[in-house]
Amino acid sequence: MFEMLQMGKYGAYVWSSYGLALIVMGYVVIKPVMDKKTILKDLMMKYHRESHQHIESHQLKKEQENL
Amino acid sequence: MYKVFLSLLKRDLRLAFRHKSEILNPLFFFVIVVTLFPLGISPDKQILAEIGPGIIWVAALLASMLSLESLFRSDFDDGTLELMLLSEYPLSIMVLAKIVVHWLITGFPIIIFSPLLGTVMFLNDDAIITLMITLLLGTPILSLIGAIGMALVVALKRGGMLLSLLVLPLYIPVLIFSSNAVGSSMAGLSISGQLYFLAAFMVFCLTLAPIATSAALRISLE
Amino acid sequence: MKAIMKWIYHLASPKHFYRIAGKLIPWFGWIAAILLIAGSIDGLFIAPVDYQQGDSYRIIFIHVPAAWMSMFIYMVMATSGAIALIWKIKLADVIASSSAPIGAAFTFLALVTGSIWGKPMWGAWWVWDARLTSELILLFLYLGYMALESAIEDPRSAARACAILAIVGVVNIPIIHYSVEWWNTLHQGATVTKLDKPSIHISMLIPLMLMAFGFKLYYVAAVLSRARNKVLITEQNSSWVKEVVALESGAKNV
Repeated sequence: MFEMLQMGKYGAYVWSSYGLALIVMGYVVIKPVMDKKTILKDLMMKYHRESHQHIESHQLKKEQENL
Repeated sequence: MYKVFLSLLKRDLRLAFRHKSEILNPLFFFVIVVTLFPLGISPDKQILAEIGPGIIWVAALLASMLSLESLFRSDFDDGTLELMLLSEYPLSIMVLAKIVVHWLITGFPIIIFSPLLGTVMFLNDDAIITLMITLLLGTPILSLIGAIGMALVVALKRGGMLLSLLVLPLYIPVLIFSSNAVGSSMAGLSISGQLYFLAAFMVFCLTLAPIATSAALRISLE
Repeated sequence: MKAIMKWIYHLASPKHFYRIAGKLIPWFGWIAAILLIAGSIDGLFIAPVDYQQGDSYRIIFIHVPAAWMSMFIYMVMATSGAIALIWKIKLADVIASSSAPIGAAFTFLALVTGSIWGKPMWGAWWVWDARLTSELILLFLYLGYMALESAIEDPRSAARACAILAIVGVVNIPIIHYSVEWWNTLHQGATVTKLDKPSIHISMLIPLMLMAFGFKLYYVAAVLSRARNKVLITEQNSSWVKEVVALESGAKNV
């Protein structure tokens, strides 16, 4: 088994190639998943802020009317 | 249509001759860059003759690229470009006139001065003639491809570095075939294949580059 | 014809794209994972040892499909750029710009694995071999594309400028490729053993094909998930995105 993993004298080259492929391709798919989380969070906050602003401006108007 | 082409050609040439530095600076740049190599590597005759074709061509490439700013920049700044876009005449014809002017003020002086640089790099007579022919066929390609890149970055404030990233990879075929033709003629080999390639590539760029450039200008200015 | 176009526009509307892509991604992703794992096991352990190159040739199961993908993705970018310019389908722009980093990653992978393969074969980390040189130039084209995209602020005109650049690039790629091949044969002669062989044994072809298909499906999954994110950002003011955001972040909190 160990000999098989050694790949003759080329083990280091072969395994580093496959390892690098795993890292690069893993990063490429994990990046958008991470991005998605921040996007959802940012948009959530943005909508939250907007709806608050909406309510506040509404209240402000009412107060002005009362005055 | 032909009249538009000619009148724009005349106007741009007149403007270029008013700012003489636009013509002289690329030429000085070309000469200085080539001079750096014997100083940086060795004044040895054999080494210089070996690397000379490549160096002269790389210098011509860079000189042509760095002068691309003059193609659209001033017209963009004073709004002439916008008027050109709105005019009833085909934009690609006007773009072609500007490219021809760019070649006349940068490519042409380089061709005139190239025998001098060929001599200081110890190229033989055959190689110098080939150098001039390749420059004659190759520098228009540089202006044509460069125009596409310049049109893409003209609206950006710091487009200079970006322009080189966009344009230099596309210059590679010209560099390969031209410098190889010069080297081959130095060795007494046939160079017709390389020259045919350059001529074909020039015709190809001449037909397509003005169209791509005008499309890019429309996007940059919208 | 009209009905087909209508159907395409319907599918290409951001809302539908987001929903359909969300359903497709797991399929493509899992099939790609299975193919890639099978191809790797086959390529690493089952395929016979090459009589000339020993085990080092097993790198080509990564290198060659990655090089294929790097070319393929640039073609996709140019094609979808052209579609976006001609038919004004916004989604095509999104696909093109989402593809660029993936293509650059594959180009990088092809370059580095080629260089790792070259070390035991040529005795040097870098040789100006035709394929490696072409990949290097292709990487420059990708980097130029991404630099142009990030330099233009307005995303719409950035996408259109990039479409032009990709089309110009794709027209030039065969010319560059041809000139590099020509330059290479001239300077190196026949001493260089090419990475891909003219005739390849079936036992080596199977893992190569498994990896190649795996890479393709992987790319589809990756590009769709990137494109979904871009759609969310560009459409953030529409009501369906608000619903999606409420639904998806709500589902996560539960």
